[in-house]
Amino acid sequence: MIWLTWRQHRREALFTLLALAALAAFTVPTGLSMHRAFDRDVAACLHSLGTGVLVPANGSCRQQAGAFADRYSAYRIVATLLLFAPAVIGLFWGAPLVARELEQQTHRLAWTQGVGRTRWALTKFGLVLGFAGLAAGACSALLSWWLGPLATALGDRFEFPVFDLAGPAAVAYTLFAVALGFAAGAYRRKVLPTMGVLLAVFLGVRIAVTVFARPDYRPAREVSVAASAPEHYNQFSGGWQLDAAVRTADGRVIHPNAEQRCDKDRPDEECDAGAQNWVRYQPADRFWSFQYIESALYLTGAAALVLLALARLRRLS
Amino acid sequence: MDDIAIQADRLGKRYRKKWALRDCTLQIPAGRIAALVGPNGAGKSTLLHLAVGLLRPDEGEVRVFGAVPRDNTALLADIGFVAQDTPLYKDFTGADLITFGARLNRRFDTALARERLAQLRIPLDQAVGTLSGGQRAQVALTLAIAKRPKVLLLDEPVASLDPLSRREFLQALMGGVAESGTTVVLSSHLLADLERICDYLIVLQTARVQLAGPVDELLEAHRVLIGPRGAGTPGEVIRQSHTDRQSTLLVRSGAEALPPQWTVQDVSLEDLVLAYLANADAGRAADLERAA
Repeated sequence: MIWLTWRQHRREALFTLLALAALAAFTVPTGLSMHRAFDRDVAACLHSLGTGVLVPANGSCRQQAGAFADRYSAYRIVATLLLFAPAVIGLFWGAPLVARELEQQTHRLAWTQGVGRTRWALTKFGLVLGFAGLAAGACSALLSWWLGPLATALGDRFEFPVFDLAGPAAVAYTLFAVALGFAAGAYRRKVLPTMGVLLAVFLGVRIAVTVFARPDYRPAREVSVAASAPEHYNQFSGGWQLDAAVRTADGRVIHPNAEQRCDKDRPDEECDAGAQNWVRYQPADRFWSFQYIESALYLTGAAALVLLALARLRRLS
Repeated sequence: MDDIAIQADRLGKRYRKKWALRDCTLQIPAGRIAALVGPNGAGKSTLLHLAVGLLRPDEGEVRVFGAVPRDNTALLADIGFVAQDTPLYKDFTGADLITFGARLNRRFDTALARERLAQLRIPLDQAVGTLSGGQRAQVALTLAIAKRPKVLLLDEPVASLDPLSRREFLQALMGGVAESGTTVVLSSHLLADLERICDYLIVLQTARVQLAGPVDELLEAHRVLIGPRGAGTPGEVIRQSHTDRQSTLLVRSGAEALPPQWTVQDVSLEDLVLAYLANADAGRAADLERAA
């Protein structure tokens, strides 16, 4: 069975390894130069700024970090493209595994040999999930290192899309997509419709979870600082800023999605009335717990889909 | 030789509301070459798929050497199965497929498989998708035979072959199983394909078994009678046709003495099958009339 799995999937395996090699060929040199530039231009400033929630408003590193981010932000497009990697792996590893056998009737050959269909399915599912997981893990580890400086300079390590690319959750997405391909294939029994179902369901789940569930994995924190105070929210803390506004002293929103600085020399009505900068955020130290919660969610889904596919195959006539 | 290779007991399989096979009770003794004959849609593939565990019965059961085949890996090793249109992994070479057979079956005769393909001049290093239909059928048969099965089930094995390839295929098949005593069940919608090699016959029509038994016994038990119209009919009449003065009857009869006005002829297997198929058609028409 191991031989059969290898023989049937060696082309996909080769393409996956080539894609990983191409990714490494691009990310390693560019990553090294980014890390060097970051260490030279930005690291010292951010280090002295610290990772507290509130930092002095005058001493921020916006200038250095902004210059660095501008210089390298084109690279982020590559990273954004890789958001689709789990779906692509699902399409080419997961969707055809059952559907192609049923479509081309070769299940009548495979399931009438001296291994039953249950062992056939368990071996193939296990090996393909294992390989896809390893490939996704390598990709995510590489991206995590590569995106590190940019994510720090932009302060968005905890936010979409960096959160989705550089962490164990990326592996969980991949396993979910592949398992979805098995299950959809066992029901739809043809490759193209299976791919369609996989794309629709996978993208639907990813968007729904990212937009509606993820911000509330744990209760968000809030911080309010007087606009006239010498401190403000630290955008380089590595936390996830969910919402921000300028509010009155009694909590009414004056300007949504804004920050205000008050200058004592220039009188301002809102400042005089005690305007506050308010931020709702997930603190940086929750990054890993969020990764684990999200991973657990998708891994549970993947396990359920594998069981569904197995049950369907056993009942399939 | 008295072992039962395949035993079906009130076996039925339904697709949605329509029965593909119903009330199928039969026994195929071990060592026979059984022909499963019937028109398209009669339930031949369904019966074979039930016997190899690809389908699960909705009614009754089928046993192969006493065991239920569904997901039964021990039994699957003893069944050689070639599905209709001989599905193979098209990008696999002959050598790959032999490895496939060897890896997925505990008792697989790799040497035999290689030898057979070499004899048939089928290249081992060429993707089977590029072979001719006849060659692909031979590769599929080779994989099944190399399992050294106790029973070999072939679903319409020659349907896609030209007449010459049909003959070669069946010759190769008979050569492959001649000495092993393997039970073989072949289906076809044409008796002519199988007549020369089978010694057991099952006629399926409209999801039901119309006739089943050893060929010699069936031929023995049926007679064509030709006599004057209106004479009493001896035995069970399967099929009758009449001209103005003369009746031709196909009857199932024992050895009882026949009235002297009848001329007795032996029946050919083909006439026998056609009579039962036509009879089933007529029966169905009568059923429909009664229902209406």
